[in-house]
Amino acid sequence: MKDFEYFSASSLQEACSLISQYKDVGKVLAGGQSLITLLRQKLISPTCLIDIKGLKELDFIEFDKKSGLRIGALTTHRAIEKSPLIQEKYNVLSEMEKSVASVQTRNWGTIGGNLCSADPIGDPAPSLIALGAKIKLVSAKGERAVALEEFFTDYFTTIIEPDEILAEIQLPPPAANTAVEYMKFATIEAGIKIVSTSVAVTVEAGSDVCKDAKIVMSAVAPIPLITKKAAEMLKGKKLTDDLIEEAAKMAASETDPTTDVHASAEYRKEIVKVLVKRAIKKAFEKAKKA
Amino acid sequence: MNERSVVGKPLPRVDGKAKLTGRAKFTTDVVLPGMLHAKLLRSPLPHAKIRSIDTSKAEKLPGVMAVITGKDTWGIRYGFVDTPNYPAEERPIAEDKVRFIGETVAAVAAIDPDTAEDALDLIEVDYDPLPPIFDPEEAMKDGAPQIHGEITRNTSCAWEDWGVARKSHSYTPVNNVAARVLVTYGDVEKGFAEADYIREDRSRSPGTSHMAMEPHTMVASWDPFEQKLDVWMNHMAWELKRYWLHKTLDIPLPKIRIHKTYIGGAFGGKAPCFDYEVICAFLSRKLCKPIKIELTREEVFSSCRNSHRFDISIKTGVKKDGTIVAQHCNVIVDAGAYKCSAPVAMFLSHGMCDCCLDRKNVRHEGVAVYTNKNFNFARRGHGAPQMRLAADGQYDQICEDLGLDPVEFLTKNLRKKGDVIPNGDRLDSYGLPEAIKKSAEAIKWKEKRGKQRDKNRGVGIGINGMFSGSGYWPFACTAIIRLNHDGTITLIEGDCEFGQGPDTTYSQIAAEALGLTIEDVTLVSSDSELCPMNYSNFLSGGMFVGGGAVYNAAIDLREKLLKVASEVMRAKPEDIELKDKKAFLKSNPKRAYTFTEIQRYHIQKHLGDPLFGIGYKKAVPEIEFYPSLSKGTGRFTDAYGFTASTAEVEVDRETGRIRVLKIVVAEDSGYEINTAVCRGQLVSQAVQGMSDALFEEIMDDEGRVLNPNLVDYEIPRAFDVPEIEIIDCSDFEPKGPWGAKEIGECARAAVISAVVNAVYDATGVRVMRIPVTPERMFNALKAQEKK
Repeated sequence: MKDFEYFSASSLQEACSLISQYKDVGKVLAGGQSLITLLRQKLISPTCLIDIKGLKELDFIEFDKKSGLRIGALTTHRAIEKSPLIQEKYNVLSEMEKSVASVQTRNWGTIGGNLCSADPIGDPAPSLIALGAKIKLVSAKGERAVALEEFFTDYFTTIIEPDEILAEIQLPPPAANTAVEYMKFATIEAGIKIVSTSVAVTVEAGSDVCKDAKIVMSAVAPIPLITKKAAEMLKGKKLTDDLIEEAAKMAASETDPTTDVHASAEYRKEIVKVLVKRAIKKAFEKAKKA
Repeated sequence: MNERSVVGKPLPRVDGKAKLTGRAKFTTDVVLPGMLHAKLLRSPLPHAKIRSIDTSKAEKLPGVMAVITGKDTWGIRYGFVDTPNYPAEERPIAEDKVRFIGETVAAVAAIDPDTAEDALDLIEVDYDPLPPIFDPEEAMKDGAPQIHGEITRNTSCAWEDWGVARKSHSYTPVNNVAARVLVTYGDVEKGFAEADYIREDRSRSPGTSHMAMEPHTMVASWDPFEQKLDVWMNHMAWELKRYWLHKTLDIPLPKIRIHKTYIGGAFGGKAPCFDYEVICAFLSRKLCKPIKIELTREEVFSSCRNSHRFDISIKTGVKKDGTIVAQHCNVIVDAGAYKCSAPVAMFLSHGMCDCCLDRKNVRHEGVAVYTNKNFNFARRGHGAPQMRLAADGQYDQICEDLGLDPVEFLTKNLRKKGDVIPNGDRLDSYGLPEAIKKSAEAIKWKEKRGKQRDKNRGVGIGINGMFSGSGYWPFACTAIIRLNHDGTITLIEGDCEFGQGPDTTYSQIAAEALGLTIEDVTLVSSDSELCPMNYSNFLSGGMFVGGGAVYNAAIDLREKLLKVASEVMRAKPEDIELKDKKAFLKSNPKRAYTFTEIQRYHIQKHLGDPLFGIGYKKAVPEIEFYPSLSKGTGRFTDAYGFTASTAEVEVDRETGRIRVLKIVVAEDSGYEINTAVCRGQLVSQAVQGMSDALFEEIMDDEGRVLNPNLVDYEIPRAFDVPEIEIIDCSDFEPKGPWGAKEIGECARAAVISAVVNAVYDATGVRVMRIPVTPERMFNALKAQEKK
């Protein structure tokens, strides 16, 4: 690890001013579960780190019936997993968080840090996108809101400007007749994901007809991948086993996975078929009861 | 000695409190005044000539104290196998050539680790790439690149130093063959001619990492006035490490002191001599400063010893009823760039397996081949897991082909207690038959085998046998016990504590013999300057050899105490019992003298204190002055441990993912000195075996390790561990301390076979290349569907 200067911000305002000052050479430290590994492997060598982990003002989970859920960027994975509010209203997030790395990592790593590291195998992004998440980015100059699905641009790359900080994640209130299901596939529990998917299904009340669907996947493309064609196939249709299987095959054809030590590209596509099929079925069954 | 009160109990570990509270000292905790830190520059190429190395820029970096290259250590050789036929060829720093990615080409000592690392980037090495070779079968072909030229005799080898008359001689490997082994007995041709059914199969076990929690670390401190080296290091027997430091750096043996530290796991992987150890000591002597080297996890994967990849062809002939009549094994070991223990691993793949079943006519051929990859050493079983997978997988298939039951098949071919096996070893204890029976019962074999495929579930069985130390010269230990003036004892023995529990179990062994409690034992261990001879904590010799020496020392002291007590009490020694630091009459316990009183009497009578216990033990009593690894002649060990394991798995046929539902380990480790320590050993082996079967493989591309970290090299965590049932099938070992023998290595192999065979039972598909990853299973299932 190369030497760097270390700043600990005591307020969001101070953090914004530090990062605008050091934007070309600095990195934001929001838990460090990904960043420290990159530093140790010398994949990046910033000359300054701005530690925002201590900012209490970005550590919150708040819910409003009309506007929905707000999660501060520095909320830990463990806090999301254990939040009774999230377990009740956005249970898929709690379920998803259970499979983010190990308890030790979840105790320290933050949701904002996870999203900004933009690792295509990350778990939270697909679930949040399936739930229709927006994010708030702030800088010394002001703030802006962006749909999370527009945030990622490539491997480890996002639209965030060098002087911006991700401040919070916003989710709409839970939709009626809708269920979101998360499924992952890894060789060991909580191991590196070979594929994971989050599927949102909305049904016409009291019927087997799918009103809306969204299928989002990780580890099969440079960014969290929304398989639009597959979701399109489901909309307005009665969800039969055959249709679900066809949609899952379509989803696989929309992916562009790579081969690595954990799995080959071909195998990942095969797993997409199985996982998407299972997730749609499960989300569909839950949505009918929701 | 009537009922046992200290051994046979799950007493808490004597090192438990220190470890739980973080006070236990590991090598990484050693910080000395003025200590420097060293880092190693590793070769980025798998095979290349070194034209030149320019260290001038690195030397000028502020904070850098020394930069050394192969020129500084030129000619130094060492090796785990260093015999007259196979002189050592490992070197601390590459000289004119590198042979694998990760080989050390230079070392930097600096005021802190970061400076040392920065200096590495400033060293300029001019390489001339040579064609590399990675696959052992390709490497054996004519015309393949040759990894080694002539391997020349350097200094005398260990065998010569211990009295072997033959001098080692230089040799040049042909077609990259590092070593060969051929063991035969019976008449294999005749055996196959008599067989009703013959099968041939191939299997592969990959290279894996030992995954010790503590990465390899050493601190060396040279005292220029005393001309003495103080060392804190990772090891499994300081006698070996001290010998290598003495040979490589020409320091007299008594001028090297290896201090006790706890060691964060070893599993075989810390026994041989390493480049960083010689470099650490070399730099310390050069600079007259303490030097610390702490390797990273990446370096452990890429530059420290891993387990051997084995490719095995096995041909077995059986009668219709399943009686084995002949077996021919062909073993190819991927040695890597240096042979290290490859000749041993090849031999052990026969030696450890021959104790289990009577195969009647056997031919075991092996070849170890140099390749341009990191090289290898023992990992928990050292050749046995690879061989058992090949054999037990094939037996399972033979049973399927002939309509036999695998449990009955194994039972039919068992050896018998008391048998003398072909090399001359006698099975005085042999708990394998009971282990097979009980492990099958515990998994509900009869109800489940072959009856759950509709549920994608299956059960499987595997077995193994393991040495309790070996004829490795000079595999022996000595222990000393001092009777203190308050009636307690101080036990002085050399074994090191790397998690396997000798500090606790040896204390129990001694306390039991003298009627004391474990709290009455003060332990001095694992220090080369304070402890007597110790060569036992590998090849599972700890309990049998090290513990045996402690037992003999305790009995020695007991007999001396009884003799004096009989004088004092005017009674026969056999009428006296020792308990609670007292000697008393069995018939009248009130007639008692304290140990202190007995000792006082004796010191007066003898003008001094002769109440010392001394004990010693050698792993194999026969002295084999011309051991032949290549022919497998001579005694192997004096007692074998045995395991039978069963497992139940469930396979997701859509994805290929395998879930282990339950593992049963039925173990004969002789009498269990500490039942909790034994249980810990067996649970850890069950987890490792499952991990081998399903997860672990070092993957490489053109010699570069692709998964040298714990993110990409996945091992099970607590919640991946299934239900594990441990069954004690101990058979009393008459030559072992209190009847004990090996426990630490046997079960892993049996568990691997059990899991792989269970996968077959669940699916009807046999995958004989481990790990059976979801993708390998998926592809095998697809291939089955196409048929």
